[in-house]
Amino acid sequence: MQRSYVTIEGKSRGYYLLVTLLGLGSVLLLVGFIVSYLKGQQVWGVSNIIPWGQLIIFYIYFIGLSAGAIIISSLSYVLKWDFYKPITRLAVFMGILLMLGAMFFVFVDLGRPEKFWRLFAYYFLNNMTSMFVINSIFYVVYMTLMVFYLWLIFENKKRWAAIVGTLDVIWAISVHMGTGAIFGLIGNREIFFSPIKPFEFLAAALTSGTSLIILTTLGTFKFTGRNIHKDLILSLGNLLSWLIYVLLVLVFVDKMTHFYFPGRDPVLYLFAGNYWWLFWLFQIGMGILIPLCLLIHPRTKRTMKGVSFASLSVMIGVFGERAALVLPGTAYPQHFFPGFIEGMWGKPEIFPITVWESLLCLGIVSYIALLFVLGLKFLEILPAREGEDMAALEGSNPLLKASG
Amino acid sequence: MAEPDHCFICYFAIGLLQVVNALVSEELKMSLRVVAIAIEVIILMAMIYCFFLGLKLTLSDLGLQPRYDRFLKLVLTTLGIFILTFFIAHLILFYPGIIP
Repeated sequence: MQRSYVTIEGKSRGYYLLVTLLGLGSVLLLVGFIVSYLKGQQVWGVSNIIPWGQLIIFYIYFIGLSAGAIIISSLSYVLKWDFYKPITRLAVFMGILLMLGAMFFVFVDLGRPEKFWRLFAYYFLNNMTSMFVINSIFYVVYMTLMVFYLWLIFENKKRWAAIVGTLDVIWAISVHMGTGAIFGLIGNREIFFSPIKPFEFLAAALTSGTSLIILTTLGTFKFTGRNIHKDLILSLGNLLSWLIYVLLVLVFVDKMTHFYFPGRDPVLYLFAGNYWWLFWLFQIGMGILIPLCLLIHPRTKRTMKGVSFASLSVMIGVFGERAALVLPGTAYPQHFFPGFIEGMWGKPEIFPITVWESLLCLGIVSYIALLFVLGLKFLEILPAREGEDMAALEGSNPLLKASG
Repeated sequence: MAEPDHCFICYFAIGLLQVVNALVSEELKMSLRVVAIAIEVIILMAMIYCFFLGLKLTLSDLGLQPRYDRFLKLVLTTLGIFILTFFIAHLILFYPGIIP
């Protein structure tokens, strides 16, 4: 059966309230940006010792969510599992928005964003041994592919959508592994340095992306009065549990490899230093153990509540994982000339959480959420409710909008 | 190295600026700078508007249906607001004084 998709009416009080709140949140981005630009990066928590802060944590988190969402979207168009079709448009749309958000984070983090074009000045004639240059090419092509993929889905060009979708999924994998390689190939930062890092990034992207799709599907379907197919959510929950196993193995191998060598001080710092709680409570506790318990327990794995709690836990845990990489990884001093010059003053640093950096992050998250909510109103993303199919087929006419 | 030759008009202009500088108060100088920044922001935003309109028309020419127009307009409007904020911040920080 041809599935139809509709826009939501978006005239309820709750909808307007949500748009207003997110709009106000987006204003924070403008205010935060002006203050940061005029005063300089001193208003953030970053320093010579910890050069990457909240914005970079959000940046890698959003890239992961985007890649995860796109890979999940491939289940229907690329692998032809029609069972997942109701969430495909949602997943691709979110993939685009999250990537846009990630670019906002890195753009603002530059400090002087007007200089961003220099990365693209010579494009592939740049220094192609730099992971930043390679990733800039990945990101531009990835954004273009995603927009094209969504357009093909909207236009119901299935054959082309399958081809472009396949390409997009391969590219999404490259994008996130490339982002992992930015960290994994920094030899002088022992907590980052690992050949497994790109794969670990990919596994974390898949777990957080799947969790986000589960939570967004539940949220949007519930608030727009659509039937939530329990089997679909439980199936995604089952997929999530396998992805968490993969992530667990990769994290274990990565940390044990670092732990094996005599120069294990950095990983000991990660386990028991200033940021032990980021690693143990968030990355391991909320990112792996709690969701695994919920998803393998015979009672909770069969309930939507159990799966949604597990997804929420993964979302928070993977964010903690990103923070547990960036903050301890940069806080631990580098050994420039061991015994003579030991990093910046030779001691680990603490990253302060500052108001303006936090407001900037909140502003960008609000802006992306605002675009998502407005997208539901102006684009045919959600599947039609039962009995709405005919209205939805007419929904391609902008004058005939089905109610949502 | 030889001194560059200045014509009479150059000397006259420099002298005139020095006279104006002595006469004009700091507040007026600041106000002039604000006006100049506002004019430059308007010109830059007009250019950005033309660029975005061109982008929208190009997409229409390439076959993008009118049903996507509202969302596209919305995204471009919000991006325009961010660009406007950037121009204001950038010019406040780097715009030179009108009168030396």
